[in-house]
Amino acid sequence: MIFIRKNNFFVFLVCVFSLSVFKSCTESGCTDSTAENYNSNATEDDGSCIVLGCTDSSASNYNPNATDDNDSCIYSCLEPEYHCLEINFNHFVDNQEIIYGNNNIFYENNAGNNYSVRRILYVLSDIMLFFEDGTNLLLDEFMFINTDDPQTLTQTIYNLPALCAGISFTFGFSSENNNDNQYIDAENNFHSLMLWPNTNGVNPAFQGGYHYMKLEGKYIDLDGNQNFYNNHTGPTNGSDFSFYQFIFDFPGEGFMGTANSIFINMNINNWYNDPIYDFNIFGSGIMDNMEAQWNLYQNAGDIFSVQIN
Amino acid sequence: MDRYLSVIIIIIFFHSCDKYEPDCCGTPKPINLSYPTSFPTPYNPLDNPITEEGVNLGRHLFYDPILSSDNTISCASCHKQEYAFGDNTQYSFGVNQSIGDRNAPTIINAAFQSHFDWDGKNISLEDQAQRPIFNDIELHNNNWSEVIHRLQVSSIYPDLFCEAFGDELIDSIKVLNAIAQFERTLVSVDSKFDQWLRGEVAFTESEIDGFNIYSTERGDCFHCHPIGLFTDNSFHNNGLDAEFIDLGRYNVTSNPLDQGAFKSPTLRNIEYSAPYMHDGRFGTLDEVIDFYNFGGYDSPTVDPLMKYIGVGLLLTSQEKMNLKAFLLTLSDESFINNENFTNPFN
Repeated sequence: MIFIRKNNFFVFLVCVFSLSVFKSCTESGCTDSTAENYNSNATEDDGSCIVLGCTDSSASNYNPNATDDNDSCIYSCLEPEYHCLEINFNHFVDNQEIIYGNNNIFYENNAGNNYSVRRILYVLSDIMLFFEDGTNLLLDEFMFINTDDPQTLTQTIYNLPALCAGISFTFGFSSENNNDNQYIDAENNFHSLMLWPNTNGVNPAFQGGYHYMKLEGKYIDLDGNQNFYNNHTGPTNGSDFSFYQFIFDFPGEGFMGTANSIFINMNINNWYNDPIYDFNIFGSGIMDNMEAQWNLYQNAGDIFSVQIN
Repeated sequence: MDRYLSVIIIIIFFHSCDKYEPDCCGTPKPINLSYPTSFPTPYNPLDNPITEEGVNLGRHLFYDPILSSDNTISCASCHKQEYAFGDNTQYSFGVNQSIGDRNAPTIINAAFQSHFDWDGKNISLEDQAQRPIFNDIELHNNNWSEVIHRLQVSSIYPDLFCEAFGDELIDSIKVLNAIAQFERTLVSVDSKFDQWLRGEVAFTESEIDGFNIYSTERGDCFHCHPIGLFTDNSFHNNGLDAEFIDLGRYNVTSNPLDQGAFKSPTLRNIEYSAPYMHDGRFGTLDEVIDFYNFGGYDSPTVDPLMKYIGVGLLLTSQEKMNLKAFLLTLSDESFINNENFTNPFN
């Protein structure tokens, strides 16, 4: 006031400018680094943060900081009004639990091949759940099972409307769901591990999409030598070798059983039974071998069984 | 009196603005990476978005030996742009002429990958950036305090941190975040192969046959180096040895099945990144192709994808040349010469 009264307009301007500079150095915005609209330059939180998450305090993954619900709430399977289905994936050779490793060559198939199992990776898609009240639900997501990745061996489906009484699925992807780069951001490194090459027209066997299965190990050939086998199934020549697995009704007392936890068991030997699959005939790699793909497709009908946990 | 007061105010103003320069208060400009549909969505942590100013800071830090204990070694000492951000020697030198025990991996399209280093011990670029800073045979620092102090007293970093993060406070998180931001921009998507896929150029007969060998079970390169990133982000024992000196991925997981397994490196710009393998044992691409054509050595953990062990690929000389011709189509000169990636101190 003194300066103005003294008519020193220059000083007044300096003051105003100084204030404006100081003011500009204080930026309002969202200071929560977990928010969708986080502003790393904001020095003062203005309450604008948008944090996506579960906003229902009764959910097991309730996020007290969430401002917007993103339909991610998961409710405990023990809550009576919410149901779940936990699926445990097991793999056997007949009744033997598999000991994974190249050199565990102590399994035998119908062709008399001695073989080992190092790993199995496969896809179940078009998963449909059947409920005790007669309704059903087609899941949006597929399941990727990888014996090298234990977290994929137990998968839980949450927020179901009723107790499950049955399940059906497709082994692999049907053609309409098996396109190049379709699942490029899927979890558990799925895309990189299961990609079926697209050779851009160079080789018709490889037109893109994804493997259905990678079953790998060693076998003993007719000369007694150890060889690797790669039973990789998928859309050879653009064909659809995916297999629809009919409904498994859960066993139970009376007409229908229900469960919130099941085992889906794969018997590896059933891939080789009827028709007989002989490693010595089909060799190590079969991705461009229509006959081998067709053989395994024909064997797919009794690969899986379901047990209630 | 008025004049004195105005001078005082001006002095106060300019003194204050030493700390609050306009650049420091400006909003860092976000960068969106461009990439083809065969790439996954880049990993871009919410708390470390890529910005022009952050990348500029990271680029300076990447090339500046100030991060080493004796001011002699930078990230770029072992990750050189002309070698696809790898090194052209089998093992690289660190502080005090210490020598490493694995070949320096390339840094190409790292924004799209989830595991770093040959054994995948780091699962983010921010984590990875910290490891060499304290490694005795790399940058050889004892603690963050000494690193931060060198940055604080430098003539350029207070301003660069200010521009990138809004204040002059320098801390370890900002150092790592900035380096990670710069590394995320090291995107290579314009090789001849990319141009061929886009229909811009034609492949020769040799390159087409090489691609056919590569992407089918004839050569079976694609399982570990799938088209797109040309790495599967996973770990394999590719049959280099029957017995292991370096246990690789096992050192991280303790899973016996992982003994001798290492991350599949990207094959993009493979022409520039010799020597090859985790221990840099092969000096040329021809040696690598000869190794796979031989088939590799069996061991309990060798990957079944190496299904020609004991037999070999049985490629003819012409087929080997064709496979090499295809691999050379993965060279991206615009990446090797990109001025946005060069040493900012030159």
